[in-house]
Amino acid sequence: MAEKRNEKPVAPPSLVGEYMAEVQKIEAERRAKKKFRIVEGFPFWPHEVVRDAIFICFFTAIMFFLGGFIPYYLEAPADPAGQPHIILPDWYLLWSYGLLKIAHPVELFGYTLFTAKLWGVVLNGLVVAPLLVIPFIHLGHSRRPVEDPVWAGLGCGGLMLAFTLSAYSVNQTYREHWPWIADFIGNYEIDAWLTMLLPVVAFFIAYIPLTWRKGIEGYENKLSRNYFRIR
Amino acid sequence: MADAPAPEATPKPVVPSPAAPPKPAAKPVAPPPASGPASPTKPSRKLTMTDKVNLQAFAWFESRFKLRHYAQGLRNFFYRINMQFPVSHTERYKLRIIWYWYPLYTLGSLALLSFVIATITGIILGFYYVPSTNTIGITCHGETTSEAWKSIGCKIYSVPFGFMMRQLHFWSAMVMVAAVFLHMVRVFFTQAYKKPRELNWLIGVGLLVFTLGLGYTGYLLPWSQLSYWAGTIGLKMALATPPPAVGDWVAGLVFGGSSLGQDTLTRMYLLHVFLLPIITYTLIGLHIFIVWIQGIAEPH
Repeated sequence: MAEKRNEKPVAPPSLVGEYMAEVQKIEAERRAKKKFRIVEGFPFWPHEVVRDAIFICFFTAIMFFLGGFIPYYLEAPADPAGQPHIILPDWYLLWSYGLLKIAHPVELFGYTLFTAKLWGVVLNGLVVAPLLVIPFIHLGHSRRPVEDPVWAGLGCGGLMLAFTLSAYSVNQTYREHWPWIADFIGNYEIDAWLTMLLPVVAFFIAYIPLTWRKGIEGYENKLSRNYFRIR
Repeated sequence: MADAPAPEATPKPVVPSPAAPPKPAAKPVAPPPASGPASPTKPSRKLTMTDKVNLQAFAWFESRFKLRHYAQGLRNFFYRINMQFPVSHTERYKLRIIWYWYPLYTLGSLALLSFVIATITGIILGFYYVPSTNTIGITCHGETTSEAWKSIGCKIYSVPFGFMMRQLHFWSAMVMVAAVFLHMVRVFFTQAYKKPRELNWLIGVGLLVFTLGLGYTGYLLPWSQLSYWAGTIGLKMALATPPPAVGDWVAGLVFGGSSLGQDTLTRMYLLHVFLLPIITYTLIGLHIFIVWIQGIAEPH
C-alpha cells in the first residue's frame, strides 16, 4: 500500500502530458547510461533538512529568549592608564590564556631553549596542530567510542585539558570569590599540576570502562549485528 | 511557426508542425514503443488550431526554461512530504542498537543559524557603529568616552530595538562559538573525520579558528576595558611570535604597530565586518557542499 502511494502519478492523457512523458522517457534513457557515484551516508534531504528545520525554529526562539532576558552590558570605556585588577579574555579563549599563564621557561643543561612568553605562544600552536593531523593518523573503520577506546580516551583527555586550562587561567578569580577552594587545593603550584594531570586521569576514566566493555565477547555483534552485516 | 529552436541536446519530437516534421536525428536512440497513445509522432487525437498554438507556446517556454524540471521538483516535494515520512537510519537498516543522539547531529546547523543571525544583526549594528578611538568632546553619562564606545554603549539605546539587536548579536556569537566547539566534539567522538571526510575535518578546524577570530575581533570593537586589555594580550602574543622580525611584522599587520590605538581598531573593524565573514561564509559553503555530496557520516 505504502509503495503504491509512493509511486509517481501517471501523467494525464493530454497533449502536454504526452510531451512530458516523451521527454522524461528520453531523459531516463540518457540517465540510465551514466554511472552514478555511490554515496556513503544517509541523505541530506529530507532526513537532515526536516530535523534541522525543527531545531532552527527552536534555537532561534532560544536566542531571542537569551537576548531578551539576559542583558549584556558593556564594560567601562577603555582606559590605558587604569589597568584592571584582573585581565581576562572572553570565555572561549581562556584555554589560550591558561597556556600563556602556565608556561615556564624551558631550560636544558643550563641553556634556555624557550622563554616563558615564547613557550606560551608555541604551546598554543602545539595544542591546535594535532587537530590537523587526526584524520591522517587515525585509520580504520571504527565509528564508535567503544570500538576504539584509545581515541575516545584521547578525546576525553583533550576536553579535560581545555577545561583545566580555562580553570587555571581564572584561578586567581575563583580563589578570591570562593576562599574554601584555596584551602582545599592549596597553593597555585598544585593548580598547575592538576591542570596537567587531570587530563591524564580523564583519559583513563574513559579508556578503562570502554576497554572492559569492548572485551565482553561478542559485544559488537550482539549490539548491532545488522550494522556489521551491511558494512 | 518554426521558431521553436531545438538545441542539439534537446529533442522536440512531440511538437507537431506540418511545415517542419521532427527530424529523425532528434528521435531517441531506442526504438519508440510500438503501441500506446503517447507515441511522439502520432498524437492521440486530431489537433485543432488551438491545440497547436497552445502546444507551440508551451514548447517554446519549456525548451528555454525547463519548466518540467521545476514541476517535477514540486511534485516530488509534495509526494515526499505527504506520502513518505523520513525513515531514520536505525529504522532503515533495522539496526538493533539505538543511536538517538540525533540532536547532536544538528550542532553544525545551529552554528550556521547563529552565524546568520549574527550577520543580520551585525549589519544593523554596523549602521550605527563608528570605528574611532577619538575622545575629543564626546561624553556619555557624564564621562569622556571614545566614539566607538559611545556608538555601542549609548547611541544604540536611542535606536528602536537597537539594544535588542546588540543582545542578539552577542548571544548568537556565544551560541555560535559553543555550537562550533560541540559540533567538533561530536565529530571527534563519532570518528566522522575518517575517510572520505578528512578534507571536511580540516575545513572545520579552519572554521573553528575563524570563529574564534570573529569573536576576538568582535569584542575588541566596543573599545571598552575588556577590549583594550584583551587587545593587549593579543598584541603581546603577536609580538612574541618567533622569530622577532616575524613577530613585529605580524603585530604591525594585525594590530597596526606595537601599541594599541586607532590603527588597531580600524584593522579589527575591517577583519570583523569584511574579511573574516567572507572567508567564513566561503568555507561554510564548501563545508556544507562536501557534506551534501558525501552524506552525513553513518550514525550507527
